[in-house]
Amino acid sequence: MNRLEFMQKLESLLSDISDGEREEALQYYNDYLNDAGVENEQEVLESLGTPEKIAKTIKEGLGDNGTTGEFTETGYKDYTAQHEEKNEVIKKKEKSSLSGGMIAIIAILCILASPLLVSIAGGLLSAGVGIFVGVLGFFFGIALAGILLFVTAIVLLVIGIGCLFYAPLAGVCLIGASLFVGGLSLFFIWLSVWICLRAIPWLMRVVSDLFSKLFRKKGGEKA
Amino acid sequence: MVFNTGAALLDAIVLAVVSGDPEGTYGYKITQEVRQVIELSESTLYPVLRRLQKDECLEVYDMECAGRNRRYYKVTERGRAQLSLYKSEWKKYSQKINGMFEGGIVHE
Repeated sequence: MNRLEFMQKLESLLSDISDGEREEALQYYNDYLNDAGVENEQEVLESLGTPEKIAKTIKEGLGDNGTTGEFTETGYKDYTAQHEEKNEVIKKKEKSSLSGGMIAIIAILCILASPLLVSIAGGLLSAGVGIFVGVLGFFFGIALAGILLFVTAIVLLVIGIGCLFYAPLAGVCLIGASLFVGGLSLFFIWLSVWICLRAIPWLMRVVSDLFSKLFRKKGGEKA
Repeated sequence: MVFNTGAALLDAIVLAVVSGDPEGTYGYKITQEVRQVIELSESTLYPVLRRLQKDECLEVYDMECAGRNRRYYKVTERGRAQLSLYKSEWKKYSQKINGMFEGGIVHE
């Protein structure tokens, strides 16, 4: 674009402003190009920018009163538009930091923590069940031993009393053994009753405490 | 340029440049002089000059030069008053900023 084309283009772009303003602007740029020198013409035309840009700048300058922008070294700036844009950006940032960030952190924590929590809970559960079953087995063993010993004692007592008539020494020995076994059976029966009334409720309490602690901990981590 | 030059500062710079030539100066020369101080697109000054002219801070006259008419800008009385206001405001402002930068002491 040469100077003539440039000025014609600018003139046609400024056709919608008043004659006075248009002549003023055209004279300014005509002077400007003259003063820049014919030898620098192309360079100056390029650094001035397009006729469209210049026409826009001129028109914005005319609407100076009552508009929201101002001229700075970079050209006309509309401050309301800029501020609205900034506010939007800030709003977007706030939104994303509230929702996206929090959700991501919660999700990551859940994903990282869930296998660990599940395995811990599973381990504790199976350990509790194992102890419970073991204790029950122990209790049943003791109870069974008590009952069997009691039966043995009665059998020995019956045989011992029968032996007293034809083999008094063996009969006394058998009665003594039956008394010993009977005492042992009574001890085992007492032990099983004690386990039933004291040890099992205590164990249940311990296990339930453990579980409630575990669940509280889990809840606390979630919140 | 890191810092923006607002409208008031740009007006003040233009008035200062134009007042440097008591006989008046012209658009191209004003632009080049302003561009020595701040980065400025070449098309920015026309609306500023036009507004200062409308606000009666600048007056224009045409003078023949090398066989053609050239438009000259000259600071009016009102323009000079406006410039001295800008200068004193700038002095206060820059002293405060300098004071803060150099260790919190504000020189009055």
